[in-house]
Amino acid sequence: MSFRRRQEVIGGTPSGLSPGVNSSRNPVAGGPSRGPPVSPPSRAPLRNTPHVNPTGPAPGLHNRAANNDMLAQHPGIRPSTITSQPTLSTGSADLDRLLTHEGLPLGNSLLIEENGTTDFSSVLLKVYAAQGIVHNRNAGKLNTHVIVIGSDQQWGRQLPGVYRGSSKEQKKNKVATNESKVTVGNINDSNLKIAWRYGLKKDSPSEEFSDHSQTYPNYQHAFDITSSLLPAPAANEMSFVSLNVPDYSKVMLHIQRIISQHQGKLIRIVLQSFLNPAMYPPQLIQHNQSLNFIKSLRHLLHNSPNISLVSSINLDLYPRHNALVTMIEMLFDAIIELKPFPPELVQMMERIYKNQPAKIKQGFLNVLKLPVLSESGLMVIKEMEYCFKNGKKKFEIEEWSIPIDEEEEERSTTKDIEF
Amino acid sequence: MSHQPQDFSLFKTGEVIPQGLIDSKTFRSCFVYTDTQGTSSSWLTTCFVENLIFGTCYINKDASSFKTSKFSIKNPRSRVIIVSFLHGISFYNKTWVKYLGVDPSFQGNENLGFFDLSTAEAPVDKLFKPVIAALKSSTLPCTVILDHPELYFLTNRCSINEFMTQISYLNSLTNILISTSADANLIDLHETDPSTITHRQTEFLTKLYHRSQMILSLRPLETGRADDVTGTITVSKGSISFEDEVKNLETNEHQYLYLVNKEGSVKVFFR
Repeated sequence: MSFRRRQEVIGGTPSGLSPGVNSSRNPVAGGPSRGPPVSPPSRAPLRNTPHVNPTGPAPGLHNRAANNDMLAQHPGIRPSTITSQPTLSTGSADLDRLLTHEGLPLGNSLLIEENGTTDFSSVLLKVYAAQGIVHNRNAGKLNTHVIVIGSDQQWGRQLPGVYRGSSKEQKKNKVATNESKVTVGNINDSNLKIAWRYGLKKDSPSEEFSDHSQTYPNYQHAFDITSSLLPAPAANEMSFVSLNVPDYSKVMLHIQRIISQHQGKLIRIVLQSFLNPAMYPPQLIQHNQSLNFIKSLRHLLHNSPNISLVSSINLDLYPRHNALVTMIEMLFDAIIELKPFPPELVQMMERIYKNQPAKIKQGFLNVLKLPVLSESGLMVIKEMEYCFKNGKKKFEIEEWSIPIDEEEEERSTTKDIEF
Repeated sequence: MSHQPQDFSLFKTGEVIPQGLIDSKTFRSCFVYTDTQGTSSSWLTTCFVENLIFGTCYINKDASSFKTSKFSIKNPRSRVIIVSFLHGISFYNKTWVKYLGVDPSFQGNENLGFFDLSTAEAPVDKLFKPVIAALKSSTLPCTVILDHPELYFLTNRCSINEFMTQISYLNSLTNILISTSADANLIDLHETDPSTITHRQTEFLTKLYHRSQMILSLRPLETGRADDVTGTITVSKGSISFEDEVKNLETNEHQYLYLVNKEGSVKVFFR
């Protein structure tokens, strides 16, 4: 007869590094270091994954067929709830819902316009890119490639990691994991019953976010903007296109070369701070050049079943009443505008919701265009109907309601009575 | 008790595009329809294509109204050539399958031609060369629809006068319908810098208005967004009147309310 320690897993490996533990429930290998002990992210398998040979199949029908196969099997693609077109997640569940397709249909572009000196749009761009990388890690093979225009590797290292719940939830999760292991101690005592009674055996928070739908379990994830995606995206997951060129034709050639090297993959293009003079040389800011570039990107997107684009533009530099912005808007399929609240409104909300900080929002979110629907003639412009809050675990978008100042009301009522 | 039919029509005869206009040997018309960001006119383009080919209008009946017509794509009332500077044919195919009964993989034919010039960079005098060739080789009456041509001259080195010369030449060969943007930000009659987008688009629209027989304007409601109304269509006379065989045609100047649904169907109401 042999004896085992109470916490030793029967028939398992001594540590929590068993491959079985890191199943699809922990989709992202190598999330934030403070997360539960999941199997370490292995760069090696990613590197060893065979590339689609760029010189192999000739472009044309064969590649189209490869793309169609990829679309059918990709975990990050689902049919649009309106048009049934293949749709990908923007990395923000609320934004996906707002776009009405439960994401951005492939071949479509989204423009995020932002007023003021805030940089909420870059959060949305980063979660959009991070979502693509997470699909790579989750599937264990390279099925997505991200192209970042105008930024360098530093930008790639700033992508957020997957949200794993609050510290309390993480502790609970750890206890639940330990309790669920078949150890001598767990078999002998009735801890399982207690764990069940207190709800410790419920799914982890990360699952709550990733399992929005039983049908598309790995379609979208929640991201923790205070953490980093580890390991940082490798060169075979993310490419960077420089803007130090005399004209946009070089940029387009570079993009097309990258796309041809990654046939059979989903391509997410990020165009950050479009026309920002800090990033764009003067010759690229001319209106006919920039409009031609967006036209070429639009043509590329509409003729490729596996590409999507998200871009941002600062409205302080290029206001909406500028004709150039109107023409750029005409060439995008979806447009949202982020309009941070004026300081007076922020102060008022802080006063009214001092006991409910979760209700304090950061700005208005205006919808100007929606994919497919706007182009078919539907009027979808909604201004000051939604508000947003950039939280640690998600970019929240809710319907806007005017806060009611109860103190003010009480004061006026008292005055009336006295009168 | 009689009631006035609430159909969408551009002429007092109750027609959208009259037969006389298509058959005329000497007179060529130019219609302009303008849209804005919230009121895309793509559904109206499909409506014109259906009316030109079949003589029916899905807005006034239903999606299958084209099936009741004696005309077909093989035997059309008028050939149609779409020259799009904004969309590819796949964009229109989605609605054409429903309202024209074409195959989902339809890539255009001699009776419904499509030229995708969304990335055209050719010099303006060569821009419409294939279109003109198609027009000249046609034995049947033809109508050309230009979809947002401003995207060409705003992104290429081409003056508005040069572009208008090409449009006038096209118009001398056939009837044309032109859709273009008329967002408030693109129009400023006081703009003096000729290199700006506003100046160029204002100049284009002004010159177009002065050589058209009919102007349709699709605009959002001034009172704000509504769930049951997308916007208004205003039908008005252009600066040039109808002449020759079609001099008796009378424009039905009117303003309609319209509603586009998510599935793409359109309803038009009298205002």
